[in-house]
Amino acid sequence: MSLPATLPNGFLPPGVHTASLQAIIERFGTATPRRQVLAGRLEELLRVARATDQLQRVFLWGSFPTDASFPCDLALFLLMQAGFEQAFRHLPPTQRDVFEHERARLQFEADVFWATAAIGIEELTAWLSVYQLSRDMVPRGIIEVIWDD
Amino acid sequence: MIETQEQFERAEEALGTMKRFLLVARRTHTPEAYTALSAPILRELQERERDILVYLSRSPEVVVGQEE
Repeated sequence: MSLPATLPNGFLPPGVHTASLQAIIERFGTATPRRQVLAGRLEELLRVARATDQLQRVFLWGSFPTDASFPCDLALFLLMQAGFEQAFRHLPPTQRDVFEHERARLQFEADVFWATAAIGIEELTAWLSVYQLSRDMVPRGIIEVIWDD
Repeated sequence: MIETQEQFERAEEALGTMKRFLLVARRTHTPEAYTALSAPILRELQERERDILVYLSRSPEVVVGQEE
């Protein structure tokens, strides 16, 4: 599924759009050196998160999926399978870095928000509604990453 | 930046949603996991509350003047 064009305000149209990681990178991760760097960070972050075998859903917002020429960083929400919080303490350091905010910022230039499915669909939906508004309270679209495999 | 009453109300609603999310997460996650997952949310709450306080710190005249 292809992503819609950005609006004149630079954001995707309001809503939760779905796209593969490859499509997201082709669209937002190639135009400038900064975007190429962030695309690499995103790929690596998601590779590590998926290596837990407990990654359920991924949502992306912030300045990366906009037409900003120099996006600041990445902003993501990772929904992990219920029970992940028990496994969390036993994660190897490389995987744990994804879920520790300051480490994730340093390593991936990303604000990584996360929870497990125990949070419930109602809270997840409400959470996603918050991020469908920019900090200036402008409605915008966010992206759910879908996987080909 | 919050500049209108409507934006203010949306910002307040967003804060409430984020706080409810934290309250649910406190009940449904282990303390260790909660400490990790709440860190970015608490930071963002601080930033968003600051946005609201900046809006509230300005008199309506000043806000109206900036909208023109």
